[in-house]
This record gives sequence, C-alpha cells and structure tokens, in this order.
Amino acid sequence: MRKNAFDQPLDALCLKRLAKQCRRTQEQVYRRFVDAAWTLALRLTGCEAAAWDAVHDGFVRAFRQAGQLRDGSAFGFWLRRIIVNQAMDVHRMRGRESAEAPPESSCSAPDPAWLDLESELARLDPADRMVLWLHDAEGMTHEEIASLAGMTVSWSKTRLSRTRARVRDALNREILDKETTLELRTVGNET
Amino acid sequence: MKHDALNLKNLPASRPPDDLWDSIAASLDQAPRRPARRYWRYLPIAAAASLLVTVVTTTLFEPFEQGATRANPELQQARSASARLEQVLRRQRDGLLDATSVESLAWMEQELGWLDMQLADSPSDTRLWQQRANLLAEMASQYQRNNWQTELQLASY
Repeated sequence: MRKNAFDQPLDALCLKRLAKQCRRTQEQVYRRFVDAAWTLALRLTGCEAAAWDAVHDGFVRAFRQAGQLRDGSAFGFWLRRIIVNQAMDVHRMRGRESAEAPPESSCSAPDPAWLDLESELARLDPADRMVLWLHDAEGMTHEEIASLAGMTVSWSKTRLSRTRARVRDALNREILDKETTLELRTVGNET
Repeated sequence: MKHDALNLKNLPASRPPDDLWDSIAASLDQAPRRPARRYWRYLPIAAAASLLVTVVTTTLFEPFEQGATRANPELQQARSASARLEQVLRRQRDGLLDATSVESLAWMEQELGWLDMQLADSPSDTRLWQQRANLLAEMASQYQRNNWQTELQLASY
C-alpha cells in the first residue's frame, strides 16, 4: 500500500530549528511536504489560484506555530490538517468574493485524460469533495474527518456514500453518452 | 478485474509552482519574530511610547465611548469580560501545546482577528463584543484543558 506523503516524521533537532525560525530548515521541510500539500489543496479547492493561497497560508501558519508543537512525528499530519482548514477557508472567502470577480477565470483547465473525473470533482459541493478526497485519496478515517470538520461520524459516512454514488452515476452516464455518440457516428459513416 | 472509474489515487499529480517558496519566505520575513538581544534596551522606550498612545487615545475618545457603554450595560459587561480574559490568555499563551490544540487555537486566533477587524469598524456593537468574549473564554478553556492534560501526562511517566 502506498505510504501517505504526509507521514514523514521530523526529528527533534529539525523541530527545534523550526521553532527558532531557521529559514534553511523551513525550506527543507517545505520541499519535503510541498508536493503532498499542493495535491491536497488543489483537489480540495479544484483551482490553482485557490490552492496557491491555501498552501502559502498553510505553510506560513505551520512555520509560525511550529514552536508550540511538542512532537515532530506528528508534523506531517498536523500540516495536513492546516492545509485542509486553509483550503476550506480560502474556498469560503472566495465564495464571498465571487459576486464581484468570479474565480473560474484564474483556474486552469483539467488534464484532458482525466477530464470526466476532474470535472465531476470540480462540480461537487466543497464539503462533499473534502470528505471524498480525504477518505478515498488521503486514507483518513471517518472519525478524523468528522473531527476536522467539527461534525459527527455519521455526517461523514452519509456524505461519502452519497458523493461516491453521485460521482459514479455521473461518470457512468458520461461513458454511456460517449459510447452512444461513437455508435451513431459509426452508423452514419457506414451509411 | 472491474475498472473503478472513481479511482482518485490514479489522478495525475500536479507540480506546485516554482515561485511558491519565494512567496512563503517573503511572508515569513514579515512575520513577527522574537526581538534580537540588542533591541531589549529599547523596550522601556517602546513601553513608554505605548503608554503615552494609550493615555492620549483614552483621554480623547473616552467621552464618546463612555456614553455608548453607559447606555448599554450588556456592552459594558462584554467588554469587561473580554479584558479579563485577555489577561488570563496573556499568561496561558507561553505554555507548550499538542498538535491538535495548536491548530484549533490557531483557528480561534484567526477568528479573533476577524472579530477585531469588525470591531474596529463598529466598536459599540454589543453582539460582536459578546462573540469576542465567548471566543476568548473558549480559548482560555482550551489552554487550561491542554495544561491539565500535559500535567497528567508528565505525572504518569
């Protein structure tokens, strides 16, 4: 099974240097976690501009607060919590601003090969997307998701099963539509 | 084997922008850092300046503020509670915290920042002051709980 990219403990010396705001250590820690943090933020927000804000603010917050962290082995998962919270917060703030300037213009187009799945993810309600991604991609438990969202375990379970069903239905419908179009084209070419 | 269309782990990875670290480093440079040793000698001057600003501000704005506060005992109560809790938190903020508490308190600090921004626009809003006092009480209890848990853990070694 693939190891979670956030599961990388920091040793005591590294944590001590972070607490002293050592810029070189901060950069090393950033390089170690940034790919995982970026993927997480991008999937939760569905938008590069919003992911930038979430990862930027998340790392700044983590480095500023690192002095209060007691256990270096928890750093990665602690950072993940911060990134998730930042992503949801950025989403909320952008939602408020959307009446003035729609954020869609700053979002890049998804990879064509995964267009269907990425489009369906982008269409989801942010909370549904968060539950789906944290559970199915990050491997978090319902208890962890519920604690992160400040909700109950049954809330997380219900959201996950509903969201999975919705995305699967939409993907199957799209596959069916594509097959039908292909068949019609083939019939048209033959005649 | 049946192919699952909803395989999130197989989605293509995306690389973070190259200039993201520069932006983070620049923000960290603006962060309030611990004062260097050589600045300690200026602290009395800074404290005196801060006291002077407080006295001038209080003297200038007190008549207006007192009018609003006197007319509304709830506002006065919320402000007093807020000031009292600030004192408690000032002592508690020096302690060590576990990861969950750090994150949750960081959130509360951010909420506090939002509330203070709103209060700067409407300083006599009772509802905002009550929210502020409630938030500070929650923070104080979180610090208290964490200290209690830390002491318990240390005692068990």
